[in-house]
Amino acid sequence: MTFKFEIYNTVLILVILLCLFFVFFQNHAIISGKATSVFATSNVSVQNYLSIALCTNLSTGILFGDVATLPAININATHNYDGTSTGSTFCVNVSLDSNTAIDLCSKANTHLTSPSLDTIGLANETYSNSTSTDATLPALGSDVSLTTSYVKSGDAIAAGGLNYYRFWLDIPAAQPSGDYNNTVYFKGVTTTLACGS
Amino acid sequence: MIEKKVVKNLKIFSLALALILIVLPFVSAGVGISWDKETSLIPENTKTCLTYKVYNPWPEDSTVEIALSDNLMEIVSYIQSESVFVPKDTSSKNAIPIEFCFKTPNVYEKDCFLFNKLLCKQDCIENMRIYEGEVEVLEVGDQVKGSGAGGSATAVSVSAPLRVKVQCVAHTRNYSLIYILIAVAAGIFLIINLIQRRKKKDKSKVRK
Repeated sequence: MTFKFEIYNTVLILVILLCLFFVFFQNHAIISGKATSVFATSNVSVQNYLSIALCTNLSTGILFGDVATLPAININATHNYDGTSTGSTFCVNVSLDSNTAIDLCSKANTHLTSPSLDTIGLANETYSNSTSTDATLPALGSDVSLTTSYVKSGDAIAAGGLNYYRFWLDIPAAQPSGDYNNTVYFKGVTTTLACGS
Repeated sequence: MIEKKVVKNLKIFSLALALILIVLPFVSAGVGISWDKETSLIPENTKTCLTYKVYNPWPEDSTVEIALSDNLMEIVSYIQSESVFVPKDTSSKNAIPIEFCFKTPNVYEKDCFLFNKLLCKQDCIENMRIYEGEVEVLEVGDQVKGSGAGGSATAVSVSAPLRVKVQCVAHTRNYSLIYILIAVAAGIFLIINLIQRRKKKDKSKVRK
């Protein structure tokens, strides 16, 4: 009887040891053909950097002033024509401390919205852009509406370059009175890349 | 004669000032981003950190925040979102590093025996999953600039592309759990045996 006990216990101990061995083997198995190799590291780091800033008149906002008569078509933003040679002073500046040409993207967060939640649709807020400015550029004829997704609004502007904007607003006849606001975003990306979300 | 000279100097000064104002339009606080990595190969279910640098070569201080595009947000578990102050005239050479960390999800199918989680093996026969998006640095100094009198406030940002390739790590089925369960069961039987044996010994001693 005692002998049977001993065998039984020995088998159990063997099973425990075998299981522990398998656990170790499964998780730390090292099968090596003793192959060795020698390597040298080759390394190169490609750095990209870009920086933009809004010109002061753009950073203070795009304002259309008071509108008394409706409907109103192509209302000029305040700084559309107040530069030299009646050029625009709405601009985005690409820093000289950039090593890549930049595409500019712009979008609005929402429709122009009043505190009482009346809206002027984004289709009515349009802009045009150009890398130079005078009485005609950026041109009203090539204006496009702002959207809530980023859209390219300046292509391959070199370091140290400027991109000028003009903004216009249409207000329908039946628009309720009030102050309407939204936010327009300007984003710089490496040229040829998509604007992203 | 002297008056004429003063007037002439004033004219030259005014002209130079006008030229400077025309050539160099005033700029607000700006934002810059510097990066040296656009693709990252990371095993699934692994936490990793990436560093981007921000700078501000413009003549006004700025405060910036780092953000990820929506399609990258689905694999991000943590991102440092505090605002970072970037002093004016910080060149790209002196850019300030901002680190953000994220954990890649389990995206590849596993062949599991138990509860879809235990005793799994992974063959990695699927195509590599790639998440493409961008790291965006936003200037948040005066956040919403503009008047309350109607119109659009403006904000500025720059972005760098980022592609996260999630690597599948192939492995065979791991039977460790079964081995451990067998070892525990054997251990329990062993203890029961030893206890029973001691009890029998004690009983036989009492009889004697």
